[in-house]
Amino acid sequence: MLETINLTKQFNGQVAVSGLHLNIEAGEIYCLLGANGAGKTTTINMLLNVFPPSSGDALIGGLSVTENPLETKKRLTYIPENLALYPNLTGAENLRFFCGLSGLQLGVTEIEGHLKKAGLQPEAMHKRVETYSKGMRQKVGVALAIARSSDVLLLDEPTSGLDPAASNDFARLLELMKDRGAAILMATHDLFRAKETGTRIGIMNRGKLMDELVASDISHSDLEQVYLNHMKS
Amino acid sequence: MMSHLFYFEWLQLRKTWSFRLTALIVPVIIGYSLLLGHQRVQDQHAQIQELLESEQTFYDDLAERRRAIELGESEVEHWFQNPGNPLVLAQFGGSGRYVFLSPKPLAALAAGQSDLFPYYGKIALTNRSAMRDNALENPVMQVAGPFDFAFVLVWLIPLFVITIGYDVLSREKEGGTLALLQSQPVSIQKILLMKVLFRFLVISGIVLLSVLVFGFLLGIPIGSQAVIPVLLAIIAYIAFWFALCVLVNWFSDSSAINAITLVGLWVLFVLIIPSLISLFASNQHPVPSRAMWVTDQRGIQQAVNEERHTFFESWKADHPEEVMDGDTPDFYLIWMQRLLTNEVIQDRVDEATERFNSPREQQVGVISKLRPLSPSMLMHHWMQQVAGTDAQRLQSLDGEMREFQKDWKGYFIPRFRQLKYFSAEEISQIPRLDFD
Amino acid sequence: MIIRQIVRNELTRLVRDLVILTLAVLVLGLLAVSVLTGERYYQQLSSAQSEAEYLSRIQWEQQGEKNPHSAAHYGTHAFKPVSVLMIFEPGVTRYTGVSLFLEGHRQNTASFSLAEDLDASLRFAELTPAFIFTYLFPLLIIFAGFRMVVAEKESGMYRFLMAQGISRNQLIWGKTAALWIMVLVIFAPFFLFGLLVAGLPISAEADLYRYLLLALIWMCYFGIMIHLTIGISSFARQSGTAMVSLLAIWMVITLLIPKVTSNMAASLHSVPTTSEFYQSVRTDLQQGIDGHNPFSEHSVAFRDSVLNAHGVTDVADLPFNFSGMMLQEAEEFEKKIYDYHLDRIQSIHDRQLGVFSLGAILSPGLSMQLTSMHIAGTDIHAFRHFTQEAEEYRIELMRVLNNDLRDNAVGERAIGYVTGRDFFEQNPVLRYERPSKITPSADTIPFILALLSWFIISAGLVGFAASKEEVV
Repeated sequence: MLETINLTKQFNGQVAVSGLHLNIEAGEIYCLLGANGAGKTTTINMLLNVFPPSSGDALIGGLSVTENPLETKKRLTYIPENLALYPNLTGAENLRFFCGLSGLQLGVTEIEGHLKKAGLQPEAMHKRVETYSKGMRQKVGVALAIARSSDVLLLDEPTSGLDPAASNDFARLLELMKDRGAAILMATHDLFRAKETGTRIGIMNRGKLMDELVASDISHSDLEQVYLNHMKS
Repeated sequence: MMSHLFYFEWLQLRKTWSFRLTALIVPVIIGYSLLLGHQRVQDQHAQIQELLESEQTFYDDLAERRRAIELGESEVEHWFQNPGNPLVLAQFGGSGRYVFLSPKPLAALAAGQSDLFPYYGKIALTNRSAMRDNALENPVMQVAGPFDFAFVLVWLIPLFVITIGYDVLSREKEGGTLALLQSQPVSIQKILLMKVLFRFLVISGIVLLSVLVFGFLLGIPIGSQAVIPVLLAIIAYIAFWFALCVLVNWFSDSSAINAITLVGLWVLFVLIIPSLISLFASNQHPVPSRAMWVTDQRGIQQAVNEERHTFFESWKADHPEEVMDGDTPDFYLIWMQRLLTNEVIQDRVDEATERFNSPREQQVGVISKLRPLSPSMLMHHWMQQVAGTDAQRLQSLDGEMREFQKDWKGYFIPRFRQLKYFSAEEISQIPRLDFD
Repeated sequence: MIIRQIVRNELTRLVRDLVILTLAVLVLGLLAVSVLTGERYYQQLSSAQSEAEYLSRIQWEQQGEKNPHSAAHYGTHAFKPVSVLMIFEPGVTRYTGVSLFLEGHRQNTASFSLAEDLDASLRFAELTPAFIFTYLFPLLIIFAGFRMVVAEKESGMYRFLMAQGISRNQLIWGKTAALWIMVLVIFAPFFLFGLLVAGLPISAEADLYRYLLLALIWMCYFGIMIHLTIGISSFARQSGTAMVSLLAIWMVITLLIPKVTSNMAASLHSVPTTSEFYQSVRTDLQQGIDGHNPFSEHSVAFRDSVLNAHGVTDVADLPFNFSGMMLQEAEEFEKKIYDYHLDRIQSIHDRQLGVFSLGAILSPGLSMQLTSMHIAGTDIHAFRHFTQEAEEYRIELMRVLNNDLRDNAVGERAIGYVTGRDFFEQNPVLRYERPSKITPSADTIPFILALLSWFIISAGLVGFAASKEEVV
């Protein structure tokens, strides 16, 4: 569903991502682990065609993101680290706006239904977003993915700054999305969350993919050891 | 897609207090400025009407008195009391004609220089005086200047545009919503363009609607063809400021810096460039002091008056047929001489005036060359021209009066030279000598 | 000690802020240009004024042999001298006439304002220090200060500082002090430059005091803007809001209120048009003695009373020239009528200024402008002072002329009496002196009070903001 082929990015000669090969199938949660500056966000930005890769390409549903940026964006939902919505609109209005941008004109009941699926309290739906917590805003983001039935979910540090309960809520939502058949790419530096939620884990350092592990095959402490080893090299 | 973006931009915009304030204040100040402008124009029309009527009554009264004399019902003691005398009809005790620069249909839009220059004057055979209706005005008022639509449009509307548009892109960047927008299957340029376009349409709509509604209520001829260019110019001017907003937003990500930059540009275009241009023009071509003009004029009068006999004698030698021989009344020769002297004085004063007018014209030339540096200045000047209240039009009053005075003299002086008195009938038929 | 640290830190940040530094340099540059060109303009005006005055006197003295009353009709001009402080605050100078025609029988209004000869396309954008201080300086203060407190809250620095044991009081007053210092640092070079260029140390003492007072008034206005800026910055939750609110305040107090006030004043207390004015003067004059019409009712009555008093039946038997006496009598009557009507106009102007004091309460910008005009001697009171002196001179000159006619055109000389250069040279001369004392007129006091109240209230706002508890 989501594939990167030798994806490379250099900024003024500085290598940010080099020769990245990823292949994420539908119904999979792929966690990209790495320190700050490892190239996780750069990878996501290339998938969103914020800037083109220096070489290589990425495919979403078989379509190149550089050649068909708008087509590929139709099939994905992106939730940034700090999902910002329009503060003076309500959660429902924000959802309706972003759905509309991908050509989905939804009624109030449908909107409320999607928000409910994403776990937003009904009394919060029609309050302005400026009163929302980070977790609530992310639920709106997930509702957007549900509404658009996106094939691909791109998540950038979604759980940083969430309290454990909210973090757990979010993990369940990801499970839900996975079961619906989405291919999920989650950039994070939360080892615990990667192990618990992910199906596969990729470890990135200085723009390179160092290792790929299957989450169920490895214990927490082993994962930590592997991660730290890769960071040192 | 467009209507979707517009709808949500509207949802957001209407909740911001800067927009609410704009939507409330802009119509109020436009309405107030048009009301003041309308009153000003109405007053001028009323004044013109009143003066025309008083002129009519004055000559009706003279005709009446003349008729009484013709019928032998009354007698006059002094020559200057006889209304049949061409000199009395054309020169004495309130005789003469008013000359007006009638307000243009859209005069209410800009007061322009109308608080400095008169719009009407009166001429008789020897005098030509513009009537400064506002000579008694408190000068403090003139410092502040009139609150007219041109001021609202040129000075204030850009500030409202800036309030609405200074953060049109930077707000998305600062708020973080830009990241989300970039992941949408619609090109980001299109989304941002629509946002700017919507805000532009909203503020243009508020301004145009206010102008049309208040104009209609006040009876300003907004239906006329002349209004279309004005409306287009308003849109273009607002578009200019929006374009600046977009440009500034393009280069800087911080709303605060954008606001500073935009207000800075406002200060530059509206305050600094115009004042520097004025300063430059008046330094390049300084107009000599009017105090000197006053003394020059006196000097000329004195010099000509001293030689008035010589002037008259030589003129008489050249135009013997113009002067009546034999027994003429006392006033005849005195006034023949005086009219001639006046002619000479006026010619020479005109020469002296030229010394003052030519630097002023040069100033105007310099300013009109530099004016395109500031779109605000262009706009303001153009509005004044449309309203017919720019300095050049108002200063043309003197020329109009001069032309008119020529006709007036041409009508009366030949009859005075032959001392052909007017009958009551003829008095009531003195042509209006229309000037427009 | 802590406050000194805060001030120093704030000043360092201001100096390193390229935007503020550029703007400050630009403002100083504009100020320098405005002072230099203003001084040049002042020199031109005042030399033209004294030259015209001199020529006008020569014209008067050399007007040739004529009857004193013809001389009264010939008249003379008075030219208004300009105040040196117009370099800094031109006030109404541009809009009042420069010359006043003084003649028999009537009081004229001054004509030829400077504004008529200037193509001032956008009216009040004239580059003078007053203009820069009224409009641009507050913007500089706003730009430098709008973020001072609110940005600390936005960035979280505020909590950090509080945790260091700095009180909110110290923080806010420290920032206020820093803004004050910035203003003083920009103002000081201007102040010295202006002082020297205008040559104030060697000119009349009063002008120097006026200049000092002007500086104080401006400082007061800047203080108000500083306090408002810091106050709003402390109350706002976002720097964008602080900025927009301050700009709105700036627009209202410098642009909107002054214009609206003056237009309100004009429509509430409207001045009659010139033609209406002269119409009513003419109506009143017809009730009185007409110096030129010996047959009017009043003239006849006056003549009879004079004849009776001297016990003669013909004016020719009087020991003096009767027309001279009658002309003087008429002149005094005409002056009364004119005084009455001009007083009426003046009282309308006063009522208009009353409306202005209302506007001044709402806008410190307006109260500052009106006060500084008065201090600079460029306001309407200064103009009135001149016209009054000129009028006193006119009536004195007319008396001298009429008395000459009355006393000398007697006997054989009565018919065709003329006088000449010797006499005209002895006629009084108008020597106008600007008042050397600054006496605040009754209607300026509200402006000064409004300005001071704004200063105190705005300082109170900062004090309130400083004492308010806030959890961020």
